[in-house]
Amino acid sequence: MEGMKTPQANEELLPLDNSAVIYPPTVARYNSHTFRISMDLTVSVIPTRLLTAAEHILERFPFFAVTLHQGFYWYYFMPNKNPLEVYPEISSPCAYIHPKKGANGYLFKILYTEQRIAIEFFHALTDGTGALVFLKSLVAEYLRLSGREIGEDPQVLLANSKMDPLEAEDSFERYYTPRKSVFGSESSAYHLPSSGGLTDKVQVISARIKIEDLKKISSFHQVTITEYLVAELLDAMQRVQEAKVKNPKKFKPVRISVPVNIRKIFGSKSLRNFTLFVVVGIDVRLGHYEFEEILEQVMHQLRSSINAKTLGRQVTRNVAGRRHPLMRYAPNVFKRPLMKLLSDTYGDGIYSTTLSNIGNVTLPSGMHEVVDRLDFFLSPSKKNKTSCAAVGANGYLTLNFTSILAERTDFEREALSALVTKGIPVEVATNRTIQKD
Amino acid sequence: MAYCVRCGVKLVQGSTVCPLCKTEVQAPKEIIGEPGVPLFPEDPLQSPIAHPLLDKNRKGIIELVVAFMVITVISLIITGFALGNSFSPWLPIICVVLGGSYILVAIFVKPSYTYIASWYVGITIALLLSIDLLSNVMLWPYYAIASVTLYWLIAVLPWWVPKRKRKWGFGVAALAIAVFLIVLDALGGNDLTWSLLIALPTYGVVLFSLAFILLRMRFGKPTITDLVLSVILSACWGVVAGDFFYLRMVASPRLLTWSSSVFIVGLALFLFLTLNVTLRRVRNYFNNRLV
Repeated sequence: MEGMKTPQANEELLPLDNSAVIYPPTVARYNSHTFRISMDLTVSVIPTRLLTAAEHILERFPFFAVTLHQGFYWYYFMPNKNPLEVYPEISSPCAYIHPKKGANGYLFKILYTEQRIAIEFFHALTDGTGALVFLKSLVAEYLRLSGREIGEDPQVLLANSKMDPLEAEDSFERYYTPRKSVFGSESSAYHLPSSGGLTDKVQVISARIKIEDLKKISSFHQVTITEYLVAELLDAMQRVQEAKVKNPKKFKPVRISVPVNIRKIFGSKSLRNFTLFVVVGIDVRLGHYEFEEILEQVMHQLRSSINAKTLGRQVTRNVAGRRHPLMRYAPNVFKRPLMKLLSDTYGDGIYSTTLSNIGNVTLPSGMHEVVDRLDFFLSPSKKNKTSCAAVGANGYLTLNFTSILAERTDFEREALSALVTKGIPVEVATNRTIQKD
Repeated sequence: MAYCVRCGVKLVQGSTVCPLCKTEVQAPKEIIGEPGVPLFPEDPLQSPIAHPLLDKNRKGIIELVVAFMVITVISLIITGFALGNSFSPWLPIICVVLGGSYILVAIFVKPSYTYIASWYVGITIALLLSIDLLSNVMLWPYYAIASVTLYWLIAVLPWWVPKRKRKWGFGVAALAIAVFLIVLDALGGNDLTWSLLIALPTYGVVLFSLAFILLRMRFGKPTITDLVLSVILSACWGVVAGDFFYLRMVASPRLLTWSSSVFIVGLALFLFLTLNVTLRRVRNYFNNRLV
């Protein structure tokens, strides 16, 4: 591929980062590999002003102003000179972004409603942290254009500031150390059944919970909020499996994939993908786990996995896999099915769902006053039909369940009603069309 | 704002049904409140849009096909009148009408495999019967009708029945193959010979062998290699059985002739698969693996 380009074109070419290579070949009808992050404002959104702000800010993020191409060996990015567009929001999030026609060639889509600015990213471009920095910078620029003073924030990049080359690097390559690459073999996990049918319009159950309530209960158990939520989701999935699978001999382990932002661990400044996944779970084939047992498992598994050495193993796996001669010189047409197999075997197949928690987002002065709510949504996949994403702001944590299950909401119900039972008030909203029972 | 009595969650303003358990909210309107801003805006594409029954392109194709059929039929009738008894236009007319129906079915019938395939099978059978009625009596249309019916029973019926009854569909398909073999033999005239003495016993052996694969898939965890090798093994047993039953029919003193080598391959495969399964179980036992 690269060899067939002119030297000038080669200079402009931007390879996908090491964790992004898996996304373009595995995009499918029920697996758009997109995620969405949005801010609800107390001021109105004017589309023309939003477009101007987006054009300003995109100059600061040139590595996002790209289009996806399919080469002979690999997919790659090329600069996109098409005009940027902003779009009115539609009824379901995380829709597939067509590389050519989806957003005028861009791999992200800026959406707006009367009082909301949202961005949907194709995961090949960046991860949640990169997207959050882009959204915060975009909203700050929009508010500046609206005549507001915005305070300083490390995650708000100014439109006219100079780009740090480290922001555009593939940090996997930088922090790769040649050592034995370890491919762990895990058995397949329990997956929610497709009863009731699937839909390609992502269905959302959005839960809003006071962070104070979550803090209280998690500090009582001496765990973090993420650990507590993971335990709740594992418990909910365990109960769903026990209800659906009648024969205990057919039980499968219940696992949750928790994306970890590894920038702090490795000291990276990259705004492209630099996230790894820690899979934590319980083996329900050994018997029913009480909630305290699950919490203990989650705490030990998460804490023992989040360190430079264990995560470095995954970095090595990603980079060494890509550098392997068989992988490197195999034409894309052969790589695509292989990637799908790898993605299913070492990815979707071994966990039951995903919980991505961006954490509590702090906002600078000037922005804090006008941002009412933050939301984060992950696209589900054919295997993991329901995904969860959480983000906290202004004292509330929003836990969004996205699903391709047309009717079933058992998992969401088990998870959220468990929180209510433990005395945590939960407010829910949905985009589902609900028929009364 | 109301709460769900089953889940205990607080529902957003204006919700009348719990999104988690679909329980209707039993509360006065003042508590439920007026609907607020929805989580996502209404999708304009979701509202029902009146689509014309036939769009321009489809209408054009239909008109073209019908026009072609009408012109051809008229030409054939005129030719029939002109040439008198030396030319019968009925068979060509039926061929043209049924040929046009193949195209029209694709446009009119619900675009699903089972529907379209069933219509095509129906038209093909009608065509074959017409050929048989309007030409001199020939046997081949009956062979063809039997084959087309067998296709429908094997490749359409199992997907026609509801998913939970699909195993019955496959059962009927398996039975249909046996009946097809007998029908072929019967159409050949005389008594039933090769179907009862060779074909059906051979088919039985293959079915028996395939049933083992299904049992393994149901109760074990065979790998893809296991499955591929098992299918090859079934084919080997089928070949060997065919040779064996033929020799019994001709009362030969030999057990097998040309299929001896296939028998050895089958035996080797069988031993390999048995050893593979046994060793895997032993290994899993000593490794304390749960699966």
